[in-house]
Amino acid sequence: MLVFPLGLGTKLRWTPVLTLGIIALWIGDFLWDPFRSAISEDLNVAAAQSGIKDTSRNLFVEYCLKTRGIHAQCTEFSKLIWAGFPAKTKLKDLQKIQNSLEQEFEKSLAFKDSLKDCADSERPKNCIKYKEIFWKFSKGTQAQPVPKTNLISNLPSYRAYAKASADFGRRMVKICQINHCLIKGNIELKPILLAQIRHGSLMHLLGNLIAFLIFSSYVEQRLRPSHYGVFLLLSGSFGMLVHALVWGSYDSFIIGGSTLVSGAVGLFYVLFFHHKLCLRVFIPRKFYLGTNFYAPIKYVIPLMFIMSDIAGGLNSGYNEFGLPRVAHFAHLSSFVLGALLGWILLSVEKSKQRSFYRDIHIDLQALKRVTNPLQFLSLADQILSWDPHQDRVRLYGLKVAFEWLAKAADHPAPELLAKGEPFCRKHLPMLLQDVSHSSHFRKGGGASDKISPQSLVSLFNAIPPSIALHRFLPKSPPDEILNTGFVLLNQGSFFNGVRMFDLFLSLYPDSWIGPKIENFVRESLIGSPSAPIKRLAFVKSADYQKFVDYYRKHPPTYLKPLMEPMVGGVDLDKRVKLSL
Amino acid sequence: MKPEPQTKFLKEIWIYNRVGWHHDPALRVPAGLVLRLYAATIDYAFFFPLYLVFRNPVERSLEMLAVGPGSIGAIIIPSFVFAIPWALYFFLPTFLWGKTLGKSAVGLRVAADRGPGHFFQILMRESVGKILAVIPLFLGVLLALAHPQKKMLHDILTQTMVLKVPCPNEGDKQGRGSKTQ
Repeated sequence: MLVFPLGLGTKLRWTPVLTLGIIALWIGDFLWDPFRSAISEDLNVAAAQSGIKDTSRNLFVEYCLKTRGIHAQCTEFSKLIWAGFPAKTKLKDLQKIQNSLEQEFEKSLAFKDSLKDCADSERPKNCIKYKEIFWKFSKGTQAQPVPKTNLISNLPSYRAYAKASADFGRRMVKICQINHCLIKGNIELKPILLAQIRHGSLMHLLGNLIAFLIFSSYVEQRLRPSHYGVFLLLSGSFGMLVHALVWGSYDSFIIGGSTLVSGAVGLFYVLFFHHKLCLRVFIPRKFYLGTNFYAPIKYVIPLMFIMSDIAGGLNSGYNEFGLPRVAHFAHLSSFVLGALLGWILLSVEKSKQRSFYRDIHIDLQALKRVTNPLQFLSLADQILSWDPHQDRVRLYGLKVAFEWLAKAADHPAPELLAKGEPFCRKHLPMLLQDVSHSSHFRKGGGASDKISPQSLVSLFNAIPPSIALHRFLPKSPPDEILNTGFVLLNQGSFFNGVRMFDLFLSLYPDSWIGPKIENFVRESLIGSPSAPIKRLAFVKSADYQKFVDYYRKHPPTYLKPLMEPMVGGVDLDKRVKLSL
Repeated sequence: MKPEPQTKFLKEIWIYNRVGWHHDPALRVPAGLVLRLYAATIDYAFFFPLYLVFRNPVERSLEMLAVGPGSIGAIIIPSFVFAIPWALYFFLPTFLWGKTLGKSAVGLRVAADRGPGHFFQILMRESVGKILAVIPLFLGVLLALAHPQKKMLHDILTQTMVLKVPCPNEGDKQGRGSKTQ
């Protein structure tokens, strides 16, 4: 089972040039970095010359023998000390050193907690005590509690080890000053910028690349290029700086574009706070590419990304053992600054419109300029594929489409049906959904956040009575239909309200609310013995003619039999004349 | 002509929607095993990091205190640590809104067989019921394949069921429900 985020799940409007540029920079650096081989070579030389490997191995063996007494096991594990350090091979053969380095690095991943240096720790006693607790040997035996003695003073090799460690740290700083790599002793602008481009391994690069592509592409659509570039650079550099200053050490390089990714996620979170994140979920039930589901970004980003970093940081980032392998708090710092910058931008813009892109009004103007209805619908459809929350575009498009469908009913026009009907089938349910779930409605009977109730009434007035709504809303949820009917009725659009209730009863005929709706319609159209309807006034109204058309032209529905006494069994023209 | 003010009727509609369509027996469609598995996958993807945030510091503290694996503390304390994120993620949203984030994304909701779900009913469903359903090699979960109302063991024990929220057929981008590839 797998869950994979896919951004907003909408089409991209423009090619994300800056995002692709940054990715190209990452790949280019990974393939060709003049400093890369120099750093590896110098690192190996420094490690060998400082003797850190041998001293740490001796320290470990001595410590292990003292507390464990299993020589073979301790010697074996001592090989894994100091992740990333070269094996004791000849310096002439750098390739072998490199291979050995990678092998040891891989092996030591499982022992990340236990293979740290206690020399830099503020509390070395606790450090070495914790180390003992966390040493889980191969068979999972539980470590024995360490006696309350000063183990460090009892280990003769510790002094040599601490000296070698300090020497190695100094050499590392010198290496980084020459090659511009970010380390605690070399915090400058150039290393900070370069560190965001460099990556340690192919997996490191790929992970960052995919995440960056997913989130930054949408952020770039939303922001101006200048804002996007500056915000990304600021948040990425801030994360690197904070990590180097607070959690950095003299013997660990800080590299990777993950702070840029986190900054982009922070911006994404604020800019698309009210939208939904597309999640591709895969469960192994058949051969397929997974299924898309949508979850609110305001909950998903904190749960999936922020919590992961907090948990990772608490696990390995802020403890007695020094640095973690993943800079979780650098991610968090970048995220916070990215979100803050995004929030400041929104505040400055004072933009309350929940649009993906800045130019919502440009879209509307472009739509208004189009005179050909076919082109109009194509453009509206395209805009909505970029931004499904452009309710005004959806409303205009639906109005035009329904006007076409009305004409097509009288004069068959295949191209109108071919274009208009799919548009309505696709977008009318979404409009109902937005109306039903809008904050205006919850507060007491408004329409969508961007559509006034009057606009909704005008749209439904544009739908000809002959068109069956269940063609476009075959599976609409009951609450959405009822809520829309409620809004329409509340706005005084009696016919359209009844029409929605009729649709509801046609789709859900056995509902509890059915008899009440039926009763309401009967009393409204026919009246009751105690309160007869004012027929003359009703026949004069515009709603009456709509009911007549609805009864005559609309396919059978649940409530149509109720209308029969009102409009069915009488010569309608005569009746109107009589009443007049 | 504006119809006679039908405030009573509008109130009835309003109340019907506030109470929820899921109380209407005619509208109840039970959700199948596959949809529920999708929801569970999403739920655990969200729940696990939340759980780690609570677990890691406590686990570290326990190791520092050298609490052995067989001791009572090693059993009781992690249980409490699990209970907090579990209550925050699974129990409270199910009790308050009838759905977790995963269920909401997939378009499902939990409803009691009769009337609103009670506190104790949901509590037992999410805790003991699910444990009992999972322990016998997930047979309690697979029961949904055979049950007429697609109920799992914890649904049967606590008289609840998981319903499918009706969703529009297409164009449901950014909306409720799923769009199968």
